Amino acid sequence: MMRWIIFSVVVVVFAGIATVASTYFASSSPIELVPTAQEKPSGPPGEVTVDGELLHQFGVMSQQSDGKFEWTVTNKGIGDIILEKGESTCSCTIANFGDGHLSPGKTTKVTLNWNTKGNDGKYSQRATVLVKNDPTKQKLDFQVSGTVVPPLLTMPREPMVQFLEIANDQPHSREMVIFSIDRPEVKLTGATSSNPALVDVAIILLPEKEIKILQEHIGQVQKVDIKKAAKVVVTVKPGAPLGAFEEEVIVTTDHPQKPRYSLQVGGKVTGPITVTPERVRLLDVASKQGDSQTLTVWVRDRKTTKFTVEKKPKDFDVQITAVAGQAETNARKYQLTVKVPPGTPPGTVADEIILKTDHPQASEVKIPVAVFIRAS
Amino acid sequence: MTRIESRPILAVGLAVAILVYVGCSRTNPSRPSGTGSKDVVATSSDSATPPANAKLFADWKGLQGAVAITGEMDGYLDPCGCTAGQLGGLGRRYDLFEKMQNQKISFAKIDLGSLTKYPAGERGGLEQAKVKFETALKALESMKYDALALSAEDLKLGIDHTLSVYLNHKDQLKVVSANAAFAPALASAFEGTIRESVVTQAGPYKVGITAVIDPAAYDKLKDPQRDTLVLKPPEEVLPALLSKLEATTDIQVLMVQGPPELAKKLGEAYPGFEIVVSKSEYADPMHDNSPSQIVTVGQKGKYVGVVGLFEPIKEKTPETRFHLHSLTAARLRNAEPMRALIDEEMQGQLKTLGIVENYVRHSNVEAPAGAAYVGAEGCKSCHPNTFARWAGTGHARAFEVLIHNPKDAKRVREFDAECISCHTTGFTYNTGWVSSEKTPYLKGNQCENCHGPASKHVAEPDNLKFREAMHRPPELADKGGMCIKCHDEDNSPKGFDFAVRYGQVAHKGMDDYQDSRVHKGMTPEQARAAK
Repeated sequence: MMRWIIFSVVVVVFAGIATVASTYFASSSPIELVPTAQEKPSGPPGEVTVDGELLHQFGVMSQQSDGKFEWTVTNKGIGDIILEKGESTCSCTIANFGDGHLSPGKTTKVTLNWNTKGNDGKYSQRATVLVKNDPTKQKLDFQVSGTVVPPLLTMPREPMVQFLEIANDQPHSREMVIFSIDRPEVKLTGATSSNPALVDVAIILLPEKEIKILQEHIGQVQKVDIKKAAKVVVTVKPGAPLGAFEEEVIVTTDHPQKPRYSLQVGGKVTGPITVTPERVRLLDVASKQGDSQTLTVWVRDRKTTKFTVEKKPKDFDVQITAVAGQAETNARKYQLTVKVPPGTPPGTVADEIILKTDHPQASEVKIPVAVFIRAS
Repeated sequence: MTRIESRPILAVGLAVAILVYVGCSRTNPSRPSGTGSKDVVATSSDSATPPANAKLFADWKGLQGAVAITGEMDGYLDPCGCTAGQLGGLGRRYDLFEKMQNQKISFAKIDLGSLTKYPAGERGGLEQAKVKFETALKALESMKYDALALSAEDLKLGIDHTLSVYLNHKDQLKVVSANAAFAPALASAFEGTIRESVVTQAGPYKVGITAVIDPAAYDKLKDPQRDTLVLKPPEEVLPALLSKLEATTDIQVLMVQGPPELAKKLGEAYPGFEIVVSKSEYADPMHDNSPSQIVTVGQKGKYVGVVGLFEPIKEKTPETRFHLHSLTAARLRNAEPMRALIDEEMQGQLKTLGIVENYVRHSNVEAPAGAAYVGAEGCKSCHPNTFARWAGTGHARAFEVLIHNPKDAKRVREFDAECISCHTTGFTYNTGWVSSEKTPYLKGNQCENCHGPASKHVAEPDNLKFREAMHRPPELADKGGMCIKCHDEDNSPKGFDFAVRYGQVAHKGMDDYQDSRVHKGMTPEQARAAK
């Protein structure tokens, strides 16, 4: 009887140790952020090989086109291999390779598809195939890369005409050169502004000399033969009202893949005094501790300007001081410090600060205030 | 007759019962319960999340410390795009760092910058880009980053704007650039806003971190405030700084805010920098985990690069290994602090600031002068079959999913201009979407997003000029980019096949216009009320 009891205790103890050990080792296995097959090989090992490089260069592709490449995968080992789909980058798909079971000496195809969609520029896409029962490889990273060239290219490359901050006492122009690589003689047939009273638009053909410069510039990246190019000149007229503006220019072309090209035009018309950031925004102030924010006030075309705080939110402390040590230039910076003192009652403050100035073109400056003060 | 001894049987039975219990109660922490062996390997489409106590870097024996590297978030606070299966997001980044901390890995955190990319050209507009930028800085602060490199992209928000924001964050976040300094006149006012270098600790090692910005990239900023900063060529400042860091730290890191060629050049010129963080040529970098001086982490914040620090083989510099981590939903959670920051705090700010309501609007260039948005209900009385077809599509429910997200109830995006731009009608145009209160008839992606504002056509249905202005042949929808402006790489990542998808919404010839009432002009209000 005693032998049976000892035997059962030994069995239980062994089982317990085995369970604890397996739990421990399982919990210390990695989170494979790049997944790998984790099963231990059983039986004789396989050996997976791929014909050629795992990275395939598609070269230059146009938008909305499909890229497809096929690799041959062979099992040169003596045991079976199992292939499973792993992770892939956002827009890459990998075609099925049967049930993934590969006997010794057999081959299968792995096909990677990628649609260029509206991409622009260089790309690299990856799809991982997980390998089981090859002691030397746990995964295969199939990759494709290349460059997508849109039907129309612009210089500069940014997809909008941005004026940032401009004064309204004179016209301001920006230019954008438009050309095509797959259709070197592309013509810009027209351009329309969403607000002709504010934004004027003109198309000017690029002279041969400038086309050559453009060609040399682009030629550093890829071989091109540009025959025609035009610049779209966008002008914000003088007298524009103060504040931000967003307009649109539609350029029409004879390119069959891009008959219309939309250009966003944006910026801000400012007076002689600019405040950055444009508003006081403190949305998580602890009442007990208070908080502060510093803004920069920039006065164009004037050495000295006198400021007085005309209006401010109740309990707030607002100071404006000239930045010391500035050279005697015609532009000058000031710092506006807005303090929410400790102990300011909780609540939302949606108010404004008004600065009175002695500037002849800007007698006052309004700065919106958005502050949320919490109790704790 | 054989006597059966019952006690040994009971003993063995007890042992078996215990074994069965122990065996059944054991849970494999590396896989969700109930899954078979094929589920062991997670893929990007998996929804299972590994347990919080699973060990990272288990195969990095002897790991003593690490440097976690991020950069080029390009404005993607959330995983890129709005559909499932995307990589990235601050929430998952936070979760990864938390897991590393929980496993007692001592590591430094650095970011290459470019938190935004084309802020003025962003779908949500410049004002929203500014809010997102500040949110990103808050996120880095809350993750306790050691250094953020100054970048030309981030200065595109407006040089003075970005620097003023940095000034207000200087105690919480260290912005680094060795070759950019404030103009002498501004130096005292902005003191401490940009640092030449930062020294931090990762395990037993002191890590010296610096960054440079490409002067050419800075010069390209068409900003009247360019003279706020004075830039020197990196080669002018790096030799002395490297010597200083080598004397005081164990490993030196250089972040290069410029083209990858510049990073390569500087890496070769200054091999004393063991780690040179370069901008990526590709959104998804080549998956090479081999040790290299040059490190890239891709674009859109999809990856975190981790350099492991190991016992030095010779001298004091630690040996390094590199691993590029994909931020996937399969293995990482959207950490609550980041979810709250983005879903609640930032969305609250967008609402408070009225980013959508106050968006600067303009006329629709291709519409007849003075045409206003009417809403799909205004089209219904004359085009009932077309309306019915549209009403059955996802386009009609586009707004609903913004406020009642079926996948995540806490993710409400009613005041987010980036989302609103594709989920409402006429946003960015005069008379287009403003808010649920002011323009309730423009919820969802309606007829006029393709056809343009309809009020002129509604007022004079038989005016051929107005009718022609609303005509949209399929080739224009396709080549004019009308669909892919929303169904782009991020938001239709698995592909948008125009031929297939157009067929799902095409509605040519679905209605007849025999009834004389359809030829009678109406105001937009009358059209919306008409049955």
